Amino acid sequence: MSDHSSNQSNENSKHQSMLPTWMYWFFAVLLVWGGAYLMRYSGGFSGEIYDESTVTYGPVKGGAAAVEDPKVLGARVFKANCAQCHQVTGLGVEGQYPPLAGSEFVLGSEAHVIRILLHGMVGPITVKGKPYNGNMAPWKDVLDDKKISQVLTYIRSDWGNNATPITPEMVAAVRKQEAARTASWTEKELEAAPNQLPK
Amino acid sequence: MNGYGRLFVGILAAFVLSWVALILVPLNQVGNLMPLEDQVTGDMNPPALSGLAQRGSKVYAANGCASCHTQQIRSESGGADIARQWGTRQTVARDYLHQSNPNLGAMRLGPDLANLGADRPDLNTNSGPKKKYDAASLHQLFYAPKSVSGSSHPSYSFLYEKREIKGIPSGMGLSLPVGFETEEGKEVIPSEDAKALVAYLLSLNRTYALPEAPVKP
Amino acid sequence: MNCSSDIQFEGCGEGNLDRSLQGPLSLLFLSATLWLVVSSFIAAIAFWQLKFPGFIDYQCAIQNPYFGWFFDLIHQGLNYGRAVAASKSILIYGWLVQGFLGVAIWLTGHLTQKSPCKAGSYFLLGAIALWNLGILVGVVGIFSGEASGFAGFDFPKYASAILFVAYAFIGLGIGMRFAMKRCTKSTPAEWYLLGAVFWFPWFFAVAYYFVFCKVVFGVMPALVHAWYIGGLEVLVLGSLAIAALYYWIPTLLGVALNRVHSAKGAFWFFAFLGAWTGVRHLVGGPIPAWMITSSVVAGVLLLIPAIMIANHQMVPLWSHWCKVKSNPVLWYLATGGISFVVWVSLEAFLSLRGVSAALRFSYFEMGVSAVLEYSFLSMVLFGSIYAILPKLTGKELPCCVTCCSKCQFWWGFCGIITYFTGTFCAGVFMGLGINFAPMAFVATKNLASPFFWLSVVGGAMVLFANLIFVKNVAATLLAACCNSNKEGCCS
Repeated sequence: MSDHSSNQSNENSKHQSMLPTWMYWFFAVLLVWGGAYLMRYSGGFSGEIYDESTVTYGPVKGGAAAVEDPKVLGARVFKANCAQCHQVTGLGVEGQYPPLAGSEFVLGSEAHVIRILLHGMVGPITVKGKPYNGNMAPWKDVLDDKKISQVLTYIRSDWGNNATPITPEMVAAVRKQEAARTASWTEKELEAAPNQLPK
Repeated sequence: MNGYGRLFVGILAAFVLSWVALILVPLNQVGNLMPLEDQVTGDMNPPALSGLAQRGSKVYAANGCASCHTQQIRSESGGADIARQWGTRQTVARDYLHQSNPNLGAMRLGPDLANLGADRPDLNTNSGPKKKYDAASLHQLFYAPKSVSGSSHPSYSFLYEKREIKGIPSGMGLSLPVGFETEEGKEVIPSEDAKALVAYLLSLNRTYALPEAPVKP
Repeated sequence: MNCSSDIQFEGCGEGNLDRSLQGPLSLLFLSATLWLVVSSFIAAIAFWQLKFPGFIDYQCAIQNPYFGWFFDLIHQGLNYGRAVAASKSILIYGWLVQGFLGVAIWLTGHLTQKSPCKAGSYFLLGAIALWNLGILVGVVGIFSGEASGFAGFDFPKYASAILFVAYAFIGLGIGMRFAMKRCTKSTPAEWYLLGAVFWFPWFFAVAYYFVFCKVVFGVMPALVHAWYIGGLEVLVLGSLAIAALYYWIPTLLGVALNRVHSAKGAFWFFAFLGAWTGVRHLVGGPIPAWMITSSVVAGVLLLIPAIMIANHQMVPLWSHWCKVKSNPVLWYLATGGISFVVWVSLEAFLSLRGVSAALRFSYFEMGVSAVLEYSFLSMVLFGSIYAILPKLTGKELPCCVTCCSKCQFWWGFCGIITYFTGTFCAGVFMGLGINFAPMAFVATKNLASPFFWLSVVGGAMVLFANLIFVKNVAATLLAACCNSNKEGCCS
């Protein structure tokens, strides 16, 4: 049987070294090359890096997340939720829904505008010298802090408005401060509320 | 444990190690991807495949289209795919999210089809004005490839039915160029499979932006 | 442990063993050989369509009132895409896997000295018949447009399931006979053989689950498919071919393998690296870079065990060149053994970043897979079958068969070299053309055209060699069959 003859000769050939010397060198070179290749082209073993030539040691360059523009996102929230009353033009409806373009409420205190959006408004209100009387629904259970901040940032920057952006943190702070409130705001109550954002 | 026991454990270990590293870990990394929302338009990328296109994907697979056509764009350092305007960026796992068979392909006897449905220059010559391929031109290519100049595409005329016109023409018949017209009183109608295949091909469009596949300016 | 006493204790003569395997293995080798020729013909039809896409054209056929339906059927079934899928699947599962399973069954019998009982023999016969049924069903499935679209795993779901069941019977039989073996001192041939027998169903089951059960959409099925093909090429078929070489070379030469005590190290290198090589088929593809890169590195490092294995096997052949020259079986085995290293090097070369940018997706890949499928695996399988047949039938090969086997070798050998040269040159020109963006895509094919004809010539030579092989196998089995009934009827 062949396998046995080869077994026997195994023992005869024990004096041979395992491999010829050149093979050891060649294999060592291959292993070193393999390690280097793996380091260079493995993209840091990330599931997000598809181009293997992306350099991942040192500062990470590849796979940068797309920058979100709150104004663009806010515009979408606005069109979906607000434009029915305040109109896409931001001009509102005379006597009912106040305009947002140039509105002193929108451009004024950050805390106030957040409060209005969170809890809504009831009763008469005067904007840009004209009276309006329509109810605004509370949005605190419909939109999260991020969406509220986006839509506020949007209405404070479109139609010629130019006020500072609102961050989700600001919304969260106001929401926390007014956590106990259930009723909508009236113009009077709003005037009484603190102008500054809670610390 | 005897010698065979140890051998078996080793054999199992070799398999399991590769299975964990190349199946299980990837499953975790690319198996649960979700479409991403485009922040400007609100579209989901990649867009969902229509039922017809989904069926067309099976026709594509079953007829071995992948033995000549790839559907993968390599990065700029990995080949001339982007330079040929076959695509604008490398294709990534998320692009194939909705497909049961991504039909990646392994040969390029024909051009890459990853972005066949996008606004694009001619696939074969990679020149000419940018336009969308239309269904009629694809049907013509499948039914009578010889009528398309320079094409060595095989004929898939068995996906079409030639039948007598009874009464009014159905309006679905192929309009074929001079020299390839059907006989008087007959029309060529694409089968459901042919329509599905064309719908699938026209749905191939990976030009939207994804964060993991940056487009180099 | 002293093994020889164990074997004597079993008291099972070699003749007895071969007699009990004669029926099943004759069926197996005959059907494998027939599938090889069927695959070659379908591949020829497919190849021809690359140059003459309209050569089975519906347009003219439909006007034939009597045979229109027939041409229609041919046109549908043998359309380039389906024909390629069918020929590749038949080649892999009908010829390579089946043929090597036959070799594995025969080797198992001789390495364990266990012959199957009569019931076992019928069982094996049934499993082989079922396997062939699975292939037949699968081919009909592909022709009727139900291919899965994953190259090399193209059979529809139901056919793959049949194959799996049929394999389970065969694999279980092999595993059980090794489990019953009393002597536990094992030889290199046994490691590779056992490895392949276990790896095949595992890889197959995972691929089946991901491709057919539709649990995950997207790139995962493609990734699993690439991984499976790598496993099949290296760990299943490659392993079985290496096992056959480890067995046949010392047996036929009557000398020991060279430096064989490094074989264990080579085996583990081979097993752990081989399982990682599949994903390199997706270089540049839409899966995270690290998966491809680690697979490329594993593929390059596979050169380590490949060179060690070649060192064990080829050095004795080289130093006993006279014996090799006189025995055509050794011609096949030597060609196969060398081609293994050549194939590993070619695949490693092709998967490197700069190279794959140009050569991937070109004819070059066809050439490399031909080196694997024909020059390495098929050559080893031809040699093994020529070595097994006389033992199976209990008679020397008929004189004309030995003569024809030499003839077959030269046709096949020159054919594959011509084919590879053709596809290599065509691939380089086509690949560089595609990689040169200003050149129109259609023009790249004209670059490759002259060399394409060279590969057509090579392919035709290989086809002719395969025909000689069929004739040889059939003649040998027929002679044995006639002689056992009536002495000398076939003379």
